[in-house]
Amino acid sequence: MVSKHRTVGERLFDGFNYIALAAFALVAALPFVYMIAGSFATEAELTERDFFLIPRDWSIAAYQYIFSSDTIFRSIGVSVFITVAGTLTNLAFTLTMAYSLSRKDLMGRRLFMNMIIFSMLFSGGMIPGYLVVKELGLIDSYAAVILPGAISAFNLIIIRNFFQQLPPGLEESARIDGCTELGVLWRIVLPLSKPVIATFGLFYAVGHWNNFFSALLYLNDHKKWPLQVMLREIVMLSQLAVGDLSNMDPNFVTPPDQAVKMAVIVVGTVPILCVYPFLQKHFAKGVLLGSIKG
Amino acid sequence: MTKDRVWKLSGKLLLAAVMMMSVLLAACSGGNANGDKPAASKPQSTADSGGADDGNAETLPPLKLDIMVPAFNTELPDRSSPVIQALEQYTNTEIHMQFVPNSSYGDKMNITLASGRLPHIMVVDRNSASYINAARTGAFWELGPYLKDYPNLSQANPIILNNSSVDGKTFGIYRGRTLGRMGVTINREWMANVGMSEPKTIDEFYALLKAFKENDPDRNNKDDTYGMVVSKYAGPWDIMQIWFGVPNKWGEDGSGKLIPAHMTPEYKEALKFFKKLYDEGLVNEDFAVMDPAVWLDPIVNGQAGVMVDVADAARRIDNKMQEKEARDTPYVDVFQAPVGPKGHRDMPTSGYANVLAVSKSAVKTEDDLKRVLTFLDQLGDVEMQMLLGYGIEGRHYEMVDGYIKPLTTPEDKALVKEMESLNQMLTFIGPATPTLEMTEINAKIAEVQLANEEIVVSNPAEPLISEVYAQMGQQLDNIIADARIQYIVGQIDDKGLDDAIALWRSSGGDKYIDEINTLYAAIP
Repeated sequence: MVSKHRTVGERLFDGFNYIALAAFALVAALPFVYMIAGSFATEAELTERDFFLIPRDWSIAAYQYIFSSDTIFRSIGVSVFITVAGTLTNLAFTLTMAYSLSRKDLMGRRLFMNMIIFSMLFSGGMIPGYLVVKELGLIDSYAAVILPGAISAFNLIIIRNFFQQLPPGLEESARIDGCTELGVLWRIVLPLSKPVIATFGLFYAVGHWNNFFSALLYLNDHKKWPLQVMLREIVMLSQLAVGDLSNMDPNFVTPPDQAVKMAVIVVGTVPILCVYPFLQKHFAKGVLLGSIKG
Repeated sequence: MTKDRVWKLSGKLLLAAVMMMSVLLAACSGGNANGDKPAASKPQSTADSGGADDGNAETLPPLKLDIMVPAFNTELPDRSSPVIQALEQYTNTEIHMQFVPNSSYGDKMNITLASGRLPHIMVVDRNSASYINAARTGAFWELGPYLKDYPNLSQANPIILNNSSVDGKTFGIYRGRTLGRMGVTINREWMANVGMSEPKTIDEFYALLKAFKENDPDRNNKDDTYGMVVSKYAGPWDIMQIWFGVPNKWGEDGSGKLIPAHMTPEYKEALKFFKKLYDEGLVNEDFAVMDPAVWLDPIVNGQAGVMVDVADAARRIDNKMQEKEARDTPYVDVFQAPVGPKGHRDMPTSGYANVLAVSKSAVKTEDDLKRVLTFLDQLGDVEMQMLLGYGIEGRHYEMVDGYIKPLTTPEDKALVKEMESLNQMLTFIGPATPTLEMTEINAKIAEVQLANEEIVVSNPAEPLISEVYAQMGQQLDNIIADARIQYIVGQIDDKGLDDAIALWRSSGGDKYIDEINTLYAAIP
């Protein structure tokens, strides 16, 4: 590393960079900090003060309210289950398919790739999708949320390209040592693909965690609803309560407190936020730790 | 081994493609799914007159019913709820509730209608194109001819039945709602402080708003108050228009034909008044972008003093203000609309909120239909209205002096959960029930809403179903709504308003007018 003498201009530019980036980061982060602060504030304070970062009176009433029954717990459990099972399913299918398609000696390779790209461009739509799932008998089961869209065509193509770039010498040397096809995949290729697996695993996981629409469509039993459905319901309730002339039941619907809304949003976002830093190091690692010389 | 995998893969793809094709073909040929859920019970029709009104059909096994309703909370009852069990006992049914989050009810309803796999009873939006289509193509039973056989259902209000019909036929039982629901909520103390009383005319209303802005009604020696708070939700403007003589969406122009509200001369008068309010600072400047979720806040925080909306908003505002600082007398009062240049007029609701439709795919025979109608009829009985509306006596509420006193608060989650959102299946077609204890505010709200029934201006085109509106209604509405807001804030002037109306007419508005008039003339 060569220590360079930084000119005043360069230092100024650096400083400016830091400030601009910090400003952007704040703009993105502050609303979320307000959300967290609001979830710990009392309802009265939320009505009174427009925006604050530290609540005047701390209160965990909103969290107590949310967790006083097991509904939110159960929906968090459902969300976690769908995310974990879903991501594992996604990765299993995507990786195996990408690996197969990356082998140049696969018959009909071009045909498959064309079909996959076709599916990226055209889609049946919501109702045909619903009919398919219904005819397969998957309505009201978690498979309806996990299986459709198990392989994202876009991710598939990227992973396939990644596999294609692995040096063929690796595979050949493994075969010479008597490795089976599956063995090559499991023992040689996958360990080298850790950054890829981490990245796409995270994409899939976040997609599953945030997914509410397919859960809404396919899961009829309210006990099976994941967290995002509950969240949407709670947050949208207050929008409904004001100004919907024909649908509001005057005596029966009380909109939830602002604090409760914020608390539910925090509960819905924090788990993913916690997982993110652990996967960061995999992104940063290099792609290929050269095991072939020359 | 690679070759095997290839063939397996393409074989599976082929299979998938064939399945898709067969599904498409099945869907196109009438969409009648092989309902795998055991639907109605055996059609042993001993009770074929259908007049039995208290589930005394011990000879018949319980009727299995799937009921789809919107849910307004995340804590929902399951089959072990005592309220559901009491319901089943009274009506001799086995109920499977299918709750759908209300925020997404529209999507789920469309999907369910498209899938052809409908529950026995479902709440549907009578105005949605998918429901109208489904009704016209025979997905639902036509209930009109049967209603006279049932003690409660035969009492259904014919005007509301007409409003909720499709092509003149009743495909769903309406869920009744208060007709004259609007009211003007005013901060009581402020009114006293500026020395004024209930605004009986529009001029008095204007004077009140001005006093709220200029005469320091909260007595804090600061010029920090204004008159009325309006949010992004344009309801208040629609309501106040009617005070000025503008018709409710459609009105007669004197020659027997209908014209839309924004083409009447009174509309311009109303808009001029609104503009005046805005220019003089009597309405909040940011109304066009204010989030309706915080609409009540300026009144609660002492910045505004008037709100025009449904009358029960007064209760909600008062509750919030009491939460902030409790006191014995209510903070707000609620009044009827002021009298305008064309008389005392106010805006009604349509009298109902969605309908309960009975699907043909789940209810297969006429005898089953009669049993389902018996169930719907029984929901109008006093016992059922109380059960589904307030819960079980002694557990969720108690009777005090003939009034209902709830025993639960929203914090008693477990108890509230037992009856949550079950009231969504009530039709309110039946005898009147005891009410909640009348607090001062509740009594005033009820009084205002009752008195409103005399002055509401109905929309003559309410039951008409317009194809033009289904296609471009949203767009047309937006043209006028945007023009109104721009006029109020001064972005466009009178000429701009005329241009907007001309645009509305040329973008399909003229077609819409012709269509509505044709349909209107066809009404016997």
